[in-house]
Amino acid sequence: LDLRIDAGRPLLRELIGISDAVICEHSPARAEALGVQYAVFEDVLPALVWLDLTPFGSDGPWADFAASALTVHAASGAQYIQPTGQLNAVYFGQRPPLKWGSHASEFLVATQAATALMAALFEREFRGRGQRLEISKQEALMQIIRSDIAEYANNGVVRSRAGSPQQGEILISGTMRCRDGYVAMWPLEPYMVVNLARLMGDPPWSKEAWFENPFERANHAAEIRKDIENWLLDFTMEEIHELGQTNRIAVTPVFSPKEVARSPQLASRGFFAEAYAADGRPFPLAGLPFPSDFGQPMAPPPEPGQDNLLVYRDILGLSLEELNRLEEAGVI
Amino acid sequence: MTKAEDRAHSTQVRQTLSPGGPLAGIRIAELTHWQAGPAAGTLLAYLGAEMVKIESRSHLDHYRRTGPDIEHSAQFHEFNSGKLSVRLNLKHPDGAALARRFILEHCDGLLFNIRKGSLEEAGLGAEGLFEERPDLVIVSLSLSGTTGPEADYVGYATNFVAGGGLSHLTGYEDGPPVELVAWPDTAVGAWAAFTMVAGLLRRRRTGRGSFNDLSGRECISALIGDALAGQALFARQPERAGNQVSEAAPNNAYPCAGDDEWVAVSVTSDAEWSGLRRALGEPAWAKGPRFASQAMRWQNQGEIDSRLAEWTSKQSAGKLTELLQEFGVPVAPVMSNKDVSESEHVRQRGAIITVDHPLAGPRAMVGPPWRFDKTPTISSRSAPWLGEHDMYVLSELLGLTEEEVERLTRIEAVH
Repeated sequence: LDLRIDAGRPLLRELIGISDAVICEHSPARAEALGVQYAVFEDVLPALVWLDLTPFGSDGPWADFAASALTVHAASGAQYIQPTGQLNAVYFGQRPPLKWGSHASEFLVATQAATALMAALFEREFRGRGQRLEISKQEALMQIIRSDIAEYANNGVVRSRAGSPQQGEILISGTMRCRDGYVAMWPLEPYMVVNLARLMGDPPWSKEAWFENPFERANHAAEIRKDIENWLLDFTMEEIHELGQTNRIAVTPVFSPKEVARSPQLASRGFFAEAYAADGRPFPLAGLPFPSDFGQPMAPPPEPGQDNLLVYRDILGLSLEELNRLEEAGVI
Repeated sequence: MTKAEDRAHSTQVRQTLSPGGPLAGIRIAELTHWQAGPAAGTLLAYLGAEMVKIESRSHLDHYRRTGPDIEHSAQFHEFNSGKLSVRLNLKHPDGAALARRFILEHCDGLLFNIRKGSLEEAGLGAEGLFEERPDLVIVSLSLSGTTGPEADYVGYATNFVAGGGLSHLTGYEDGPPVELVAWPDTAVGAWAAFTMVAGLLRRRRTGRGSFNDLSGRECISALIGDALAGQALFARQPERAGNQVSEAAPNNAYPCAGDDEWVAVSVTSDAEWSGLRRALGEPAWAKGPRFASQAMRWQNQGEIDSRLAEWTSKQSAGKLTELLQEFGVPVAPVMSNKDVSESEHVRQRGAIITVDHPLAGPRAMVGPPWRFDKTPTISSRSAPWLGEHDMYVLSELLGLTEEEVERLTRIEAVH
């Protein structure tokens, strides 16, 4: 439905009329220009729930800023502090701050937006009336790094990619190389460090008196860490995963998407649905992060207009002639 | 606090409980520690749910131990604002029995991320709870879930993101994967809040509760669904790509005049490219077929990046943002936590709120990410002190006398 054409507006009204909720991602100025605003529908559709999901919210000096996933991520404070970790320390000062991989930031905004939308639908069950809610993507990402923002707001500490002073077992933890890739090695509990030392064949430092004391152990972190890094080079990701976890050490391979898609753990929990591309090739469709009988089975995204007939003819009751006329006029 | 003061405080608490928000009237018990579970609880409190954290000196939230004392931990405050606290020692049979009674008789939901098996040991296993309350909504959070060959594996936020596939995708094209520390816990918490609300909505419509067994790794994998599909469909495997994305070019952070000052710029259409060219003063290099389409710009983005960096490095991020916005180009400063905290836009939106803790004083924190126009969320309550709401839960809800509470305290069932 082309909302830029006036003749499309009555159809929009009908589509919204058969909906429980609307998710509107247009900027405030664009939404006004298209007439896609809660105020237009509030009185005639009192049970409607309306979510305005915009880069910087519906008001404030930046409300109508041109934006992208990257610029919103940048404005949330989340990009400025990436990358971190010893392997990436070498890049500080030479390379730009990094976004999170793939489109993770957008999905995280979406998770919060869906939560709020469902909460409004829940509330509607009791009061019978809908409402408008609005979410700023910038604020949804601020939520994810809330402790970093609070650190400045309360203590005046500016977080940087150069890192902050660390202590305890974090000093011997991190992303480290192994024979065929990388692993996240995080023995944060004292018992994990003891188990790790045993697995490593009781290196000399593990027999020192100071090793028993976590605070004193931290003073020798560089030596311990170097030995862990060297030891890991003898193992593949899978080997260290199994060996480490069998010994209750928090170590996980840095899995590629292909490895995630082949994970026996995820397969056993039914995380993926099998979907098919237009050319018939199968691909894994990520589902909810818990085994669930919620809702419909996952399906791949629709082709544009795939369900025109279902919606316009079968639900709204338009005749085929009317549909043809609207298509010819460019409305549909 | 004297008994009279305690009673007065309890009354005051009741008067300020759930005064708003779409989940007003919903009570959820929380057995959480560290960050992921508590972060979920804070979001649910931001929706108006009454979140009751069951804790005790026998099993303190790890974050209570990261401050000078258990009431002054910044991290505990950050991830537990808006909640109530009742002391119940699950290692004591009487404490566990009271927790069970509280959940079964007074709660709509249970949120937990404590060690696998410890709930069963305390008689709070999901199966048993469901037998008596089939309408309870339970959300469990762990590294890999409670089923499958890796159900017993241990890990933290960094393990979630490594196992979930996001670490592999985050980093410079020619560099190693990036450690993603702490925030993945909050991301997993956002999924847990999502799941609790979905469970409550379904319960409202069907009368049925649910046990929702969240896996932290799957929460992260659910954020990279496009890459998971892409690895099967495209010859080129999804890999680390710096700030590049397939749908925009240029799409990067560029150095500015100040120390570690950067500006993020994206171009997703010909119109935005035209705007960028005009803002640059129509330089000769930007004309011609090499940058004429989005596909060509994507192929040649390395050159665009170099040219843009040369231009931006002489100016401030603020001025560049102002200029490029005038030309309709997506742009924003790469903001530090200081920049965000001091941003005029953030201030005008009221996105950072201040709450008062009776012992720790006023504290700034990021407020709710949503605004509801008919059921606005009230978010003025700080994190609770340990056992702050003992009297409310034990006396008013569970009906214990003061003498009984005193006895339970002496035997450390309330601890």
